[in-house]
Amino acid sequence: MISHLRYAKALFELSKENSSIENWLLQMKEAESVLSNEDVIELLDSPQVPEKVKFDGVKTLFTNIDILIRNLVFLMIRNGDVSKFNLVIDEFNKLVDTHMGITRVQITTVEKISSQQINDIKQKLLDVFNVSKIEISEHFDDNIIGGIVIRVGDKVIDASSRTKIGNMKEFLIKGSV
Amino acid sequence: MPTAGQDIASVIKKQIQEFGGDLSMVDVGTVVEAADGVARIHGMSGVKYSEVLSFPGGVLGMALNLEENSVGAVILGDYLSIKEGDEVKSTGKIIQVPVGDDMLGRVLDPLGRPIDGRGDFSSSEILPVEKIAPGVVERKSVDQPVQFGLKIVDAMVPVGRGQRELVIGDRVTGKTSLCIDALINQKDSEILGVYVAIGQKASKVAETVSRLEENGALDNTIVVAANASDPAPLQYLAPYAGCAMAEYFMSKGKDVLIVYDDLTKHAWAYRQMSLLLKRPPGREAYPGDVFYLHSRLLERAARIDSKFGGGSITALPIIETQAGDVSSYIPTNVISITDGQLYLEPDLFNSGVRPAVNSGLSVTRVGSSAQLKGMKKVAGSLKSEMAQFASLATFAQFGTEDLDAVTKRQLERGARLTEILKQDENSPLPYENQVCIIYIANSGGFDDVPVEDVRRYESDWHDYVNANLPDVMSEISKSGDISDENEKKLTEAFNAFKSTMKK
Repeated sequence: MISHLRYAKALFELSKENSSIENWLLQMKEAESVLSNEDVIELLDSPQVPEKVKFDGVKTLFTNIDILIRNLVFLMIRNGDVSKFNLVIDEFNKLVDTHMGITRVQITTVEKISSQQINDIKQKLLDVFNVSKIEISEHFDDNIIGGIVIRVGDKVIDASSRTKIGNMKEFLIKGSV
Repeated sequence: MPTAGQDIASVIKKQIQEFGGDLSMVDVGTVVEAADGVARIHGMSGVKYSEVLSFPGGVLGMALNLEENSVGAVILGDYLSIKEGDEVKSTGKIIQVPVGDDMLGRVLDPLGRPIDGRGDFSSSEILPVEKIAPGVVERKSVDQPVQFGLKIVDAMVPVGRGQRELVIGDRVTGKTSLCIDALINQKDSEILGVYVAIGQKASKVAETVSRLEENGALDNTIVVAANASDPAPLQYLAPYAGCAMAEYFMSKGKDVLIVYDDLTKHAWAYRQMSLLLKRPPGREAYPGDVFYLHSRLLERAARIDSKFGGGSITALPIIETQAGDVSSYIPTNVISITDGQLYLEPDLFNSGVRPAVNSGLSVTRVGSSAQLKGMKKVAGSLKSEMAQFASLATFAQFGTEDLDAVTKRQLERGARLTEILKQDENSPLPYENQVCIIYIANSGGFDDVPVEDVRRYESDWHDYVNANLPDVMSEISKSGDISDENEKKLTEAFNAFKSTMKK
């Protein structure tokens, strides 16, 4: 059992050495579409199936995928870690984002906000997080009542009416937030 | 805090004006696994060790295992409502409790929330639950006594301020009673009390609280209770929280007596937490740091040098043994940490010797230097007399007819001293009365009183001496010593008293 972080880091280093990060990003997506099938993973994870059968199967499924990515899958099969492949991809994407200086931001509002507002938010966040590039994805959720929730990785800026009302309620009951 | 009507209005006004004013960034994570009071949380990369976490629905947690991919947290409350996928917010606060003078007389949970139904209190400060104990420079050696009001403890196993004296014994040997008596005796002294109940039956805690209240000692005592039905993490926190409250008073230069009842259950609670958090088990399935668990707690008991503000914390940890086995894991650990132990024996308890302290096996490593002069003088020969009696008593089981006069005299004296050292619950005896009764008994005053009458004589004598020799008593109380002249007066008075009793 090896942590998915290790696989992702190793793969990222390789992609950097081969200067084919963007190409690999696409190929990983393709590999993911194959390995997101539960039946495939179950077969590849099964100790009853001979390794050769698994490897041959992967070879036929991965026709135009870089040999190093294929080797990663082989390695993970041999270590019994192939079920973590999607985690490796997530982590790989994060590493690529960091490398390219992209910060992914998730914005949750009740209704769609104008592109002008999104731009304003973007400018503000560029200052706050001191990063070069921000990619925003929009989500909509009635439950927050109003306002906005901005999520960057593990950090959350919660300016939703739900939280404000909750804080106010707590303050009135207990005298402190 | 909004208390009066106009305050609430002004608070709301301020809230409306500043609605949404302050925004802050918090670390969040997602619950990936929750079971048996522990949760595994994904994300939260910035969380600190023992930081308070906020689960949905106002349930609090504490981050403990900071691992590569996840955070192991314990849940301090109702964990049944927590489910996979819940969002957890970090609060940026290390686990802490409110402290203050208003907490005296209250019953609180380990997070400082009142559980006695008497409403909120105002705290003056908030202190972290975990604190590193005072260092060598700030400390001072123990040189002032804590009066338990129990003859056997004050005379034979004295405890000083800042000492850690273990109370150890089997179930139902009066461990809690002895400690509560010690707390009750502080009602008129300047020593404040903290009673920490860990993993006990709620009914027993209620009984203890009412005992403190009936004897007028609750007003200067804080009770911290994590009952058997409370989650293990709360039981784990209770002694540290109680200690933090005591440290507040110590920092104000006051003396505090803190009772941890009991650390066996505390170790069990910690074992449960550790196993659920998948920390490697060691001997008896306790985790590797079970020694540090208690040593860091008991090290916080200290006497602070007056240069650093003075004050002290005296700790009375309780350990319950199974079938008298003091050599099992947790008892030996705590024995080695503390400055001595009061060993309570079921055989003594059942034969009516209460408090059932075995004076031969009980030890105090620093307390005797804190014992007051007068007591030291009169109790000096008591210990050897009792030890000789204990060894002869087994021998004398086969009949005393053939024994020589000296041995017989020792047996008679020992039986009377044993009677004198017996004491009822909730009846602490003032220092001067202790000194004078032990002086009389030691000098052979009771030798011609039948054994079964000794206790009746004793209680009448206390009334007699308080009424007839008030100046002698107040002198002993004030000076702490007993002069030769007063010894003479007491002997004369006791002979007069005996003649009135015989009539």
